Amino acid sequence: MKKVKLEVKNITKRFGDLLAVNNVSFEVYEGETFTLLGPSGCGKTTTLRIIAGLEKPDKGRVFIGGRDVTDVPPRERNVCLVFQEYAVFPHMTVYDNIAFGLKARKEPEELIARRVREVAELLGLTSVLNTKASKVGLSEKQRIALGRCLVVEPEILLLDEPLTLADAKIRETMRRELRRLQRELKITMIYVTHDQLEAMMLSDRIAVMNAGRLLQVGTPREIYEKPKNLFVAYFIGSPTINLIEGKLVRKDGKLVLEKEGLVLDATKLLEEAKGVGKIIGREIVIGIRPEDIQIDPSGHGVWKGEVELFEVSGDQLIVHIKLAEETKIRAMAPFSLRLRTGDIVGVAINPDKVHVFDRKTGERIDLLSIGEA
Amino acid sequence: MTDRPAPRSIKILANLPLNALLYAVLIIPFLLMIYLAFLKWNPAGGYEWWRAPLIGLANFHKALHDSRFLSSLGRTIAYVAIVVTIEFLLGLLLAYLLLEKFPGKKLAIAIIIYPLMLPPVVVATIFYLMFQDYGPVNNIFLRSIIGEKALGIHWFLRPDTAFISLIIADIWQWTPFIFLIMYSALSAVPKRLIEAAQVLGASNFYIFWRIRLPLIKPLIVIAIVLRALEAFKVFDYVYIMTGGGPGTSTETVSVYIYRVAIEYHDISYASAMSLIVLLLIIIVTRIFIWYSFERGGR
Amino acid sequence: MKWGRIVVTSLKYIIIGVFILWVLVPVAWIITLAFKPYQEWRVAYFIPKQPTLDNFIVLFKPEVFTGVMGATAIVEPVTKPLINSLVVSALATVLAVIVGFFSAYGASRYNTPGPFGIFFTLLTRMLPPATFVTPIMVYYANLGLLDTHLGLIALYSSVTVTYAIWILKGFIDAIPVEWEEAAMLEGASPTKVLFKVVLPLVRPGLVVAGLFIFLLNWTELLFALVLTNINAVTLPVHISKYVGAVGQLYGPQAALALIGSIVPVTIGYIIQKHLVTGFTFGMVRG
Ligand SMILES: Nc1ncnc2c1ncn2[C@@H]1O[C@H](COP(=O)(O)OP(=O)(O)O)[C@@H](O)[C@H]1O
Ligand SMILES: [Mg+2]
Repeated sequence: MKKVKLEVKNITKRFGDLLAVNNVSFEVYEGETFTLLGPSGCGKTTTLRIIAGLEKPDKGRVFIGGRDVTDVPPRERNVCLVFQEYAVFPHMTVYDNIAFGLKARKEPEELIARRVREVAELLGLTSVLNTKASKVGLSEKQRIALGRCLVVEPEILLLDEPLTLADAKIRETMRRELRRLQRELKITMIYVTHDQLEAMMLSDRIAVMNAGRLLQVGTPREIYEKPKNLFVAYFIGSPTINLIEGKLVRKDGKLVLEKEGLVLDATKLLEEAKGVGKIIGREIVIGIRPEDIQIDPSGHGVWKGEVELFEVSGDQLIVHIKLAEETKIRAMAPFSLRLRTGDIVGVAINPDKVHVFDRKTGERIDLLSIGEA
Repeated sequence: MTDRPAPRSIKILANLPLNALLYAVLIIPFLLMIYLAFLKWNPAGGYEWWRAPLIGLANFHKALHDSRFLSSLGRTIAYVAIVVTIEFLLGLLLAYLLLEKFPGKKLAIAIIIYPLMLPPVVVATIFYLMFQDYGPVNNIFLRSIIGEKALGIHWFLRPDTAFISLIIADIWQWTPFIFLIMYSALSAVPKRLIEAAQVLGASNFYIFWRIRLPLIKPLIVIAIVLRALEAFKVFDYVYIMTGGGPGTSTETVSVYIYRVAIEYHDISYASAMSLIVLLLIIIVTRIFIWYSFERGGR
Repeated sequence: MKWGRIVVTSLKYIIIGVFILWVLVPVAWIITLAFKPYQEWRVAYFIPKQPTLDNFIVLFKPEVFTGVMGATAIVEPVTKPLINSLVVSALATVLAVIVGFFSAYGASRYNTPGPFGIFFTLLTRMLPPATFVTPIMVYYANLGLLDTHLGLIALYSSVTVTYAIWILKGFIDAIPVEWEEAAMLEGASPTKVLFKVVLPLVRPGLVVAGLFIFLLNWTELLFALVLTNINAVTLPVHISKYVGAVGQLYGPQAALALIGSIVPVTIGYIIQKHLVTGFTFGMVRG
């Protein structure tokens, strides 16, 4: 049984007219890395600051290790926050920065020296310990901010987009380092980011937020494979998911998606799916991830279409295919696939990988469960 | 753009009026003062200064052996030390207490800085009236503590109470000065740093000592030095409230020099004392500038 | 725990409250005293039982009331010092701001050398005026400038011009230089750029510098005391004579303090945001 380290219950926070956090609840287990993921401005930082005690929620409670800490000031919560802007103390040496928390707690001098050295070692800061913190580089500042928190051994470590200021290469290594540290030290960590890739790489579980609301909590896999709504589906995954909307109707023995006079034959795509009967006649959005689409140059598959455009993405190609007027999808393909614009290709899609959403509410419609019901 | 040579017209506009003003009104008299300090000249003597005899360093020598000058100097320094210390501590405390938002804060600040805008003569008048035998300090405040005896306290007739009344006037008027500087300094400390310290477990007291104070240190130096130099000039309060008395017991340097020049007409001697004071001030100012601006830059 | 915080918070408001009282009580005393008839000058309460305007009237028409109030000395009416203060402060301010504006522009855009480094600024401000009393008196006596408005105006503007330069330089520095460059590319002469482009943009700065310097001029006592006698007496000099020499005319003295406060307090609150900047020569931004 996993132990709950943090429980956030129905927290709401307004800034004037703005609902920054809207009735958010979740639990974080001991020792896990939990990520708050969402576009900028969605209330991640505010949530984190409420957990740290720097902001008071208008409604709701926060529990740490079972204790209600909603009215406890930050310094008595034993959680530590690594700020997005790092906020190192510019007038102190790196050593004094890292030692700050222990000194504030009046720990004995030898213990402080030992712990600071350990942490500095761990983070590769030993050589700059006696430098003024205002004189070191961005990557060091980031590690100081982290080390300053590690040294006080907080119950929960909160990180607010710690890598956004770093450049791509450092970001890569820092991600790996963070993961290693978290494993080694077994810290409970809440990580905030707007970068879904980073979230997928680092997290045990992810909470996706938008406009102050918590949309879905789950493992990276769950979130990727079973996005609870359109926003999550769209936000997770790169390149973004293909979305095709319309009313699903049966016409002349065929299943077609209808939208403003345009129709798309979806017979081959949905025929086999169980429970499809329940969505016939409804306005839906079909989501298919580009990586779930195979291109068949010989023209077989669910649909046929014309290759319009290529984009290079890492070691793969993103192929834009026009299925019909106004209906285009993107598919991933290896470089080895010899394609030219204008080619007519088939696209093959595993029906299991098709996501269906209600067009009005954006909520996921699970064909299987509906079918069973 | 700053290092480009200025066009002729700009050069003339920027330099000519300024230099004309400064030379005509400040620099020439200043040179004159240096000359005067080496003369034996009293305008009551019936001849103009350019006919007066040069007497070398005699005036300076006299000043350094003039106990009234030296004690006015010492008194002024004591005055500066006392008022600046109290004003600094009070101003800093107030600035810290007013840092957080609360309803009515704007009004509170507006009230606190009120004395700063008054002419010192007005402040002197206010406290001259406050400290009269039947003024509210005796008649209302002290009488409620020590009874009718309070009415027998003659503030301006005793050296110690007269000096205290000056100090109170100064503190009343100039604590807001320190407050304003400290307030803007403390407000400028990034909120993130304070929050980082809170999250690391530091108490408000610890944060104040380890984060806020060190970060505003340069401004503390500026505030204290500016206030000290300003307080050193003290003239208005003394002139109006105590007249330097009783006797010469509250006479400050400015008042003494004024008297020597205006009441005793000893222009040369007043000039010599002025130069000595000037030298002191220049040294202090110079050290201050070196400390705040030149030592590694700010 | 919770109680501790309540105690700390209340203590904070108590300290603030006490300080506010400390500021307000003397002010309240002066205001009420100014409206008290002379029977109430020595009483132990604030609100006058028989409020009167006599204290103000006597300031303007001393010959009428001095007998009634038991004063012995005859004082001049406050009218002339008031007008003198307005004229001298205003003209000295205008002069300092104009001269300061040109120099500030040169310093901001071209680094024209001028004797207004930090050291000089501090000196003109920090030297006790008393140390400058002797030479300026002798100098003015020889030039026939004693007891003239011109003499005071020249002196006031020269000791405040460095303020004007520092405050205005801050404002000019904040104006993007591109506008001037654009005007120059269109063939405008440097002086035309100065007057047509920079001057309108720096108007708020001129107002702030002007008001601040006016405040300094209005409150100056020592120079005016030494350099004026009958003709050019300013308000602070008048106050110092009234309070020092006339004895215990408490009511009129309080009324005079009020009259002397109105202008500077009004100005002070107008430029409240910039007071710090002004008092510290721009070393501290408000
Ligand atoms: N102190 C504040 N005052 C007013 N609005 C704020 C404040 N802090 C955050 N907000 C607003 O609340 C919303 C959520 O902000 P934030 O939690 O910082 O989002 P995120 O970290 O996800 O980018 C944003 O629209 C932001 O502008
Ligand atoms: Mg954020």
